[in-house]
Amino acid sequence: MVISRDALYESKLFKKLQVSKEELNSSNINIIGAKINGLAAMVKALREETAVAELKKSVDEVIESGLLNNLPQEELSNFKIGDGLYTLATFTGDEKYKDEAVKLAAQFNTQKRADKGYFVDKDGAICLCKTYLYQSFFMNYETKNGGKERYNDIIAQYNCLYKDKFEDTVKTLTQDSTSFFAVASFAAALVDTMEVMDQMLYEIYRKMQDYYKDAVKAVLSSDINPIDSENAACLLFDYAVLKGCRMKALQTEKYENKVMGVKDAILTSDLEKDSDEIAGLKAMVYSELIRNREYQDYGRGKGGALWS
Amino acid sequence: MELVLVTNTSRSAVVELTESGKYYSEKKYTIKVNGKEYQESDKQVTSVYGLTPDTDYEISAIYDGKEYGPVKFHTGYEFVTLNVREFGAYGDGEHDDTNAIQCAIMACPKDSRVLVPEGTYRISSIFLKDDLILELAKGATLLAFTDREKFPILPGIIESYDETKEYNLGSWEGNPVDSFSAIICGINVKNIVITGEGTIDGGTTHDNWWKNCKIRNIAWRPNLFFINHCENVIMQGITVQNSPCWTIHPYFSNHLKFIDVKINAPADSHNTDGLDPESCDDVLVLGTLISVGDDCIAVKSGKIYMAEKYNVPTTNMTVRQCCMRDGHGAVTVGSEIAAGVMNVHIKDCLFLNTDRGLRVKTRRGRGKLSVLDDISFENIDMDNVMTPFVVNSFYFCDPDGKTEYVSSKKPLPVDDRTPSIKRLTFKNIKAQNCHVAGTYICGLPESKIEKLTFENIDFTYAENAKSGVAAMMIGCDEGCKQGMVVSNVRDLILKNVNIVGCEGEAIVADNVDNIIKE
Repeated sequence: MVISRDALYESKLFKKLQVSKEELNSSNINIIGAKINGLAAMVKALREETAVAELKKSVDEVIESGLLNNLPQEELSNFKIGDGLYTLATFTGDEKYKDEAVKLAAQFNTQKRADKGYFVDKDGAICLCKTYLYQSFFMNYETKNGGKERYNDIIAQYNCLYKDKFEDTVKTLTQDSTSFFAVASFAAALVDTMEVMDQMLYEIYRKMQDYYKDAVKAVLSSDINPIDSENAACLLFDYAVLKGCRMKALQTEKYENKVMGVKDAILTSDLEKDSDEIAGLKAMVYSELIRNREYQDYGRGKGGALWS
Repeated sequence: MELVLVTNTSRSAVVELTESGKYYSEKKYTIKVNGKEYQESDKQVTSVYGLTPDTDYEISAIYDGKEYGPVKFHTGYEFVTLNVREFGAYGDGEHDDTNAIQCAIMACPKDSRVLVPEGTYRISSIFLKDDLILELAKGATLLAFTDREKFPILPGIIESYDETKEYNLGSWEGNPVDSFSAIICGINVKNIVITGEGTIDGGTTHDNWWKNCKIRNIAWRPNLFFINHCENVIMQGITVQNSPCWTIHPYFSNHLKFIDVKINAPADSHNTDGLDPESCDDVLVLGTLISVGDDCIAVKSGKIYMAEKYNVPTTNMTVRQCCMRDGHGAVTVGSEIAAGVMNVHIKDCLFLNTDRGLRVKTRRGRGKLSVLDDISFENIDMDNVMTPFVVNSFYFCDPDGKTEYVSSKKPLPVDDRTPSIKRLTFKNIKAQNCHVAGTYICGLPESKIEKLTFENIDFTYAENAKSGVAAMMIGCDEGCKQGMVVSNVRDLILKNVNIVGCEGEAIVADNVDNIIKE
């Protein structure tokens, strides 16, 4: 089922997601990244100049503020804005945004790693949820500008984290809200990463799809109700499922209805009262709700995009 | 010398005059049908048309004043002929005749033929069915549209409802991904004969399918002929040309014959391989002429996902009495060979003006199931081939092909990603007017080629030899008139190998355990 667009909701989202001077002054890259991600999702779904202008306005503010030149060292949150830069580069054709993305990606060369090889923050904390902060941008960079040299690194990190953390995290899904957030983030990271890779490295693509499905099934087979418009884990999970249906990583007829309750939940909620993180996630969910999940249309008439 | 019957249908037959040459006979000779002169032939393998069903025939050959044969046979029973004109096809080169021809095919009963008479029939994609004889008469051309919006799409994978299995339809460069349906396409069908003197023309130019050809646009480019999970398929006599990409692509299909087929594409066309069997068993290519823009024949078995999922190598393939011209490789094994290639034999062939004669393309990452074994070349004449034998274990034409992992010349640990090459044999080869090198063989340092045998080999070089790059790998510099360059091999056996006119050492061996000269 594809829902009709809601112009009023869209305008509220754009207003809510504009990056403010206060946020730039506070250098809260995590919040800024959440907003940019929401705007980028809207651009990809709507494919309209007005949406591109909204994203451009916020990203330009971020660039002009100099924030990207003064990011905290070794923080994985820094990468959250990366996909937004690439989205803008794609839709405007302006190389400036690609250059900023490449500059940001240089942090991958020095990013701290755990003993097993996956990236960790400065504090060394290990969690499946961290993948959501960097893996899709890492893949995006490798596909567009990195020569695909580190595709093997990306899948190795997923392999290792899955092996080390997935089973234990799933065991505590219902008891510990951070476990649900971790698994939901992991699913979102995987489907986002799949979206930006060269599918011709198919064995890597399918491995990620397997992990993604495991994550989705783990949540759906638990007692967790994934519909809560004010819960970040729920919104991330709903977004991941809807996007997976659109990308044919999941069968729409079997999975879509598990999360369609999110439609009424977000459209009737009060965006004004939401935190910026929740608003960003709602934009991502909304962007998926209005896209075609019924069948693969191969982008006929839209320049042959890989997915609907 | 002997005249033998290769195959026959209700309307045609193919005969072979053995031991009179390679693809071309040394002299022209006369074919007689039931005692009457039928035609002159200068080829080892000759098709005879215009026969009538359910009839006794005798075919003989008069060669150099001597009669060979006759071969006696009885043509097959034929129930009806379905002429596509009677199904509404125009054949005027303008109307879209796809539906009319498809209708005739779907309506064709067993023991019958669909006849495409003289004319030019515009089509997009036509699908084959079981128990079909499709005959393209002399002067008949199936000319494909080149507008991608007209072509159906074969999804790469459709997952079963219970999520335990999958149905693979589309394929592109060894992966199960969405691709346009071929111009002639068979899915899960058997007992097909495509015969005649007509042509299937992809109509491709650098303004359509060959433009921006490495970018997926809606789906990947179509083949001219694609059969997926098919059995008992014969293509005989026809000409296939100007394919959007690989021309003939049998995929997970068995018991296949390609006889007296002419496969053409311009030398500057993109990825227009001639014949690429992928994960197939029992393949015969006989009396076929191939002149294309990429590899003439490329034997394949998919990339690593397909290998790990299905593990179907290409096995039991014979190529005889064929002529390969102007391609990148005359016979290539690779590069999508993750499930391995075994028991492939190339005999009595002519390679002219190709970049390479044998071309093995593999790399780290193809996986442990990628075993190449029992591959032989025997009685081959080559002229003006840049490098007759190339084995490249560092092939770089993949999305990740130029990574350090693929290109490193240092031994890496042997693991699940490491491919292997076992026995390659070359016997009775005459390669004249070589340019770049006689052979350029590179195994992997951690997985050496087990046994390379060269027996009765003559290499001579062109007077004005051109320099070039023997193998598409990082670290292979341009060269000219090199002898045998061999590295990372366990046993190199050289029996009566004559290298005349090379510059520098005749044999440059690096990391070869045993060189046995006889």
